[in-house]
Amino acid sequence: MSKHSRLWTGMASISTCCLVLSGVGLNCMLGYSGTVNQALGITTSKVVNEGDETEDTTYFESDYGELTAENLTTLIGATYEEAVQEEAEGAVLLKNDNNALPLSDSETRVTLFGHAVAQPLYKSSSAGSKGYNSSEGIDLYTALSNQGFEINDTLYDAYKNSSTERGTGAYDFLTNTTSVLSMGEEDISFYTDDLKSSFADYSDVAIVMFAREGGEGMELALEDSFEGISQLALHQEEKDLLNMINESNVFKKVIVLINSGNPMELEWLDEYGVDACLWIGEPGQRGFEAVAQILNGTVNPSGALTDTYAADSLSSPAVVNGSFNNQTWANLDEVLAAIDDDDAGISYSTVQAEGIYVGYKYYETRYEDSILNQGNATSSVGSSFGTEWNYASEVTYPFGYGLSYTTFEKKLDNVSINGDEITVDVTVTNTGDVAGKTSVQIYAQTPYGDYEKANLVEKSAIQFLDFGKTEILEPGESQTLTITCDKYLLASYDYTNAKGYIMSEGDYYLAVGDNAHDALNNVLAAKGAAELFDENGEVVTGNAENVYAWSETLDTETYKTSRYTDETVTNQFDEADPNYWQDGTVTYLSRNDWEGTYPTSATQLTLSEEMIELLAGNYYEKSEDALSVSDFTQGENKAIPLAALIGLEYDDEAWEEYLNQFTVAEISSLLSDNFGTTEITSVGKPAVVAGDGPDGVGGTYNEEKYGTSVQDTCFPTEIVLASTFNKDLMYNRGKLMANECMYLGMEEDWMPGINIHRTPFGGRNFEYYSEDSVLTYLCSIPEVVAMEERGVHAGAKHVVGNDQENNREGIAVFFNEQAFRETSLRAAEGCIAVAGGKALMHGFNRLGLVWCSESTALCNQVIENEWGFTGQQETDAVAGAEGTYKWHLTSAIAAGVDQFCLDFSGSVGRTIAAQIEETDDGDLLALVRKSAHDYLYTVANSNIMNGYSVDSKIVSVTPWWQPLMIALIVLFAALDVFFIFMDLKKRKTIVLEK
Amino acid sequence: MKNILEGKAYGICVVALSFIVAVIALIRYLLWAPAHNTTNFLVVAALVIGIIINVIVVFKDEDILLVALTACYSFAVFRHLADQVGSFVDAFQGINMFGDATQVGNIISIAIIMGASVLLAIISGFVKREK
Repeated sequence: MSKHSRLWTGMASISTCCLVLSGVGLNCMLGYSGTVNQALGITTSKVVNEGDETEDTTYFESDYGELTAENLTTLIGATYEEAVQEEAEGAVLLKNDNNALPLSDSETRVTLFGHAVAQPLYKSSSAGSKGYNSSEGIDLYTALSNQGFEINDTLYDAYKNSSTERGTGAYDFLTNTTSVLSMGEEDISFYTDDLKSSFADYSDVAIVMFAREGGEGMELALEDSFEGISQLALHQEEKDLLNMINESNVFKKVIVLINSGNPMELEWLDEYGVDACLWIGEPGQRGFEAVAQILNGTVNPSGALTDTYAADSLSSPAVVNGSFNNQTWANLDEVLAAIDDDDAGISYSTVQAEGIYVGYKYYETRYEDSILNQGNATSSVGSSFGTEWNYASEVTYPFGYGLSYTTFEKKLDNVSINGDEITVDVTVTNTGDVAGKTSVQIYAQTPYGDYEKANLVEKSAIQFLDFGKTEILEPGESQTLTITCDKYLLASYDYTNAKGYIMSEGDYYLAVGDNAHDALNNVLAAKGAAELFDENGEVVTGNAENVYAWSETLDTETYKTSRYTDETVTNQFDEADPNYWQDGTVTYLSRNDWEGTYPTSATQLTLSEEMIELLAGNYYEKSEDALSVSDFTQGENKAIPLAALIGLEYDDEAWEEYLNQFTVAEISSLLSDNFGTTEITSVGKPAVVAGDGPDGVGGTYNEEKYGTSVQDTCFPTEIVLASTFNKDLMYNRGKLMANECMYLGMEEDWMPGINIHRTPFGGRNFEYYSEDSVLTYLCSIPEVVAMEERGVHAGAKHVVGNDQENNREGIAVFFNEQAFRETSLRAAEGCIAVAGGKALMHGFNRLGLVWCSESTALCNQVIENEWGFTGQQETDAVAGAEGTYKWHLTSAIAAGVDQFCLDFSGSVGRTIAAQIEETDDGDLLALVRKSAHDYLYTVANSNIMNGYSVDSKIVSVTPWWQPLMIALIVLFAALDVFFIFMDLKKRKTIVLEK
Repeated sequence: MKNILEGKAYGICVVALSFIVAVIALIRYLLWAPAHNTTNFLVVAALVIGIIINVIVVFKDEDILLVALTACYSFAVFRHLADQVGSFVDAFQGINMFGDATQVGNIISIAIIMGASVLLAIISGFVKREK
C-alpha cells in the first residue's frame, strides 16, 4: 500500500502553481504598474486640501468649463467636428477630368471596389487613440450611406466576408513575418460572375479605394516580396481590378480614393481610365464623413499635397542610402567584437548623400537647372527611365498640388520687408462657379552664386516659406490674406567657411504659386527663362507678376547668434560627416554637377578605432575631482510641496530647497518614465500621467466620473492636418487635444511628430507632417502653442533625424551640417524654440556615431543653449534596453536627458541611485538633480497641478488590483499550507494503519 | 534499472516524463534566450533545481518534493512569460518597441514546453507512483 496521499499532493501542487502565478503576476504588474493603472483608469494619488477652501487652485482652465460629464460631451462633439473639418480641408483632389466630381444628385448608386473599403486604413499602427476601432468610428461605407448613397452590398459583403487581409504590422505567428508585407488586395478570381452581375444595379460610380500601410517599426518595402516592385507602385491585383471595372462597361465614372500616408505612384490614373482621384490620407475615426461629403459636393476640397508624388518613388536621391538601403559597416565583425552592446544597435548606418535635396527640393531644383541648362541637370544619372532626366516624366504631382471644384486667381499685391518680417499681401478671388477655400502658398528662391559653389552651400531652386488659407469664398468673391513670413527661414547654413547661417549675396525671389512647381515657374518667368512646362509636360509661361524680387548682400553675422538666446550658432556636428574622418568618403549631391554628384549606390563605411570608440558610447566617467554626495543636501524635508513652486522661474532658488528634500533614491526614481511617474508624498509631488500620440492622446474617459468610457478621439493623421494648410485648424487640434488631456488627467502628450518624410517609404510618414522641414516647422507651432497655453506640455518626437523605421534603433545617420541644420533640426525648431514646447523625446537614432540621447551637441548645445529650451528631455523607449546602446545611462544624463522613456520597472532610477551611492559621485548626483529640476519644472507648470495648493497634501491611493493580488497570494498560500498539512496528516494515518 | 523501478507504479512514468519535458524546456530556453539577450538566470535556476528535485523524486518519492518541483517549474514558466511582456505588447500593438514581436512564437513555444512540465508535475501528484 502506497504511503502517499494522492489527492492532497495533487491539490497542493495546484495551489502551489496558482501561488507562484499570483506572486509572479503581482511582481510583473508592479513593474508595469503605470501601464496597468492607466489601462484601468486608476490614479494613484489624490489631493487633500487642508487650508483655505475658497482658494482658487485652477491654474489652467478647460475651454469647456468645469470638468463635468456634460462638458465632456460637448468637448467630444467638438473633437468630432474638428476631425471632420480637418479631413474636409486636408483631402487632396488630384485629378478631376470633365468635372467627374462632385457627383450629382442622381449619381447615388455606387459600387465600392478594393479590399480597403472593407478594411479602411484609419491610421497606421503607432501610439495614441484607437478610437476608430470603437463604435464611435465611422468607415467609408457608413459615411456614404449617411450621405444618401446606395451601395452595392453584394460586393461589399463579399469583401467583408473574404479572408483576405491587408497587413497591419501585427506579428503573424504562422508565417513568422510581419503582416505589413501583405498588400491585402483580392485576386481577380475573387470577382465571380455572380458578383459581377451585381454591378449593373449600382453602376453610377465605381469608387475604388487603395491603401498603403506602414507603421511604427514598419518601413514600406522598396522591393516587395510579391512582385519585386516598390510597395507604392500599382500591383497586379489592383491592375486586374481596374481592368475588370473598365471591361465591365457598366460604370459611368471611376473614382479612385488613395487611403495612405505614403505617396503612391499614380502615373497610371490616365492609363486605367480613372475620371477622378482623391487622396484621403489616413482619416482617423471620423474623417470618412468628410470624404463622403467631398464626393457629393457638400464640401469643396481644398487640401494640398505635403509631399512630392513621383512617378517612381525610387527616383528620390534619399532612397539610395535610406530606408532598406541602409548599410552595415564594412568592418562589421571588428566593430561587433569591440563593443559589448547588443549587435542590432551598433551595426547599421545611412549616409544622407542627398544633402538638402529631399523631396521637392531635388525635383524642382533639377528642373530649374534643366531649364537653364546648368549643372548637367539633364544627364541620365538619376533618371528613372535611363534617358535624359525630364521633370515631367519624374513627377506626377508636385509638392503643394491640389485641385478644387472651383478655380481661384491669386494675386501678389504687396511685399514689404522690415527686419526679419516679410509681410506678403495676396488677394484671392474665386473665379469659378462654386464656393470654396484655397491655400495661399508662399515660396522663395535664394541666390546660388560663386560663394555658394565655392563653399558647398547648396540652394533649392524653390523653398517653401509660409502659408495661409482663405475663408469659404463664394463665386466672384475675393479675400486678401496678409501673411507674415520669417526672413530667417531664408538663411542658409554654411558649414565649410562661415560655419554658421548666412544670407547669400544676390537676388532673392518671393513667389506665390499653386504649388512648388508653379511657384518656381513664376520665378523662372521673372528671371526671363523660357520653355517652361508643368508636371504634365504642358508648356506654360509662368506668372512673373506673382513674384517679388529684392537683393541682399552677403551677411555672415546676423544669424550667427541665436535668435532665441545669445549663443553663437556654429558647427556642432562635424563628426557626423564621414568626410570629417576621411576626406572624400562621401560626395554630397550638388546642383553644381548633378551628373557627377548624384548618389548611384549606397555608401558603406569602414570604422576606424577612433570611430568605434565613439560608436561605443558610454562617455561619462567620474572625474578625479568630482564632488562628493555629502556636498549636497538630500533628504532634508521641510514639508515644501511641489505646489509651492507653481509659477516660479526655473532659476528661482526655492527649487534648490525643494530638491534638497528628496532622498537620493527618490530623486533618482524620477529618471524612470512609465507613461508618467508615481507620486512622492513626502515632497508633495503628485502622480503624473502622460499621453502619447500626435493624432490622439490615447486614453479612455472615466465612466464613474464622466458617465462615458469612450476613448479620446483619433483625429486624421498629422499628414492630413498639414495638408489643410490651415493654421486655425492646427491650433484648434492642439486646443482640443489639450482639453482631452485635462479630462484624462494627463500632464503632457508626446506630440507632434516632427520627423520628415525623407523618403516616400517612411513607416511613420503618416504621423509626420511633410517632406519639407519648413512646413513641418510651421505646422507644429500652432498645435504646440495651443497645448502649452492650456498647461498640457507638447513633447515633440523624435528629436531628431529619426526619419525612417527600418533599423531605427541605433542607426548611425551621417550628414553634412548644412543639410542637418536646414532639414532635420529646422523641422524640430518650430515647436521647441518658437512655440515653447516644454517637453521633447529624442530619436532612437544616432547623429553620426553618437546616439541622440548621448549627444551633448544636440541635447545641451543646440536644444538648450541655442534654442533656449527649458523642460523635459526624454529618451525614446528603453523598455528591455539593458545590454543595448540605450543603456548608456550616465552619459545620457550628462548630455541632458531628464527621463528614460518606458522604464517600466524603474530600474534606471535604481541603477543610477546605486551608482551615486557606491561611487560617491556628487557630479552624477548634480546631473540627476538637474534632470529632476527640468522634469518637475514642467510638472509644476502644468494642468496636473489644478486643485493643489501649498496647503494640499498628496495622498497615495492604492490601486484596487494590488490588494486583490495580495489576497489571492494569501488565499493560495493558505490553501497550500492546508493541503500540505492534510497530506502529511493523511500520510501519518497511512503509516499508522500500516 | 530493475531495482529502481521495483515498487513503482505507473505514475512514476508521469514523473519521469515531467523530467524529460523539463530538460527539453531548459535546453530550448538556453538555446534561445542568450541569442536574444534575454536570459533570466532565475528561470534557469528554477528549471535546474526543479530537474534535480525531479530526479530525486524518481528515486525517492516524497510528496513535498513533488510540490516543490511544481513550484520550480511554475516559477520558470511564469517568470519567462513575465520577462517577455514587452514582446507581447509589440505583437498586439503591431509595433517594434518594447520587445521583439518576431520572437513571440518562440516565447510561446518555450512556455508551452515549460507549461507541460508543470502540468505533468501536477498530474503526477494525483496518480499512483508506488505500489
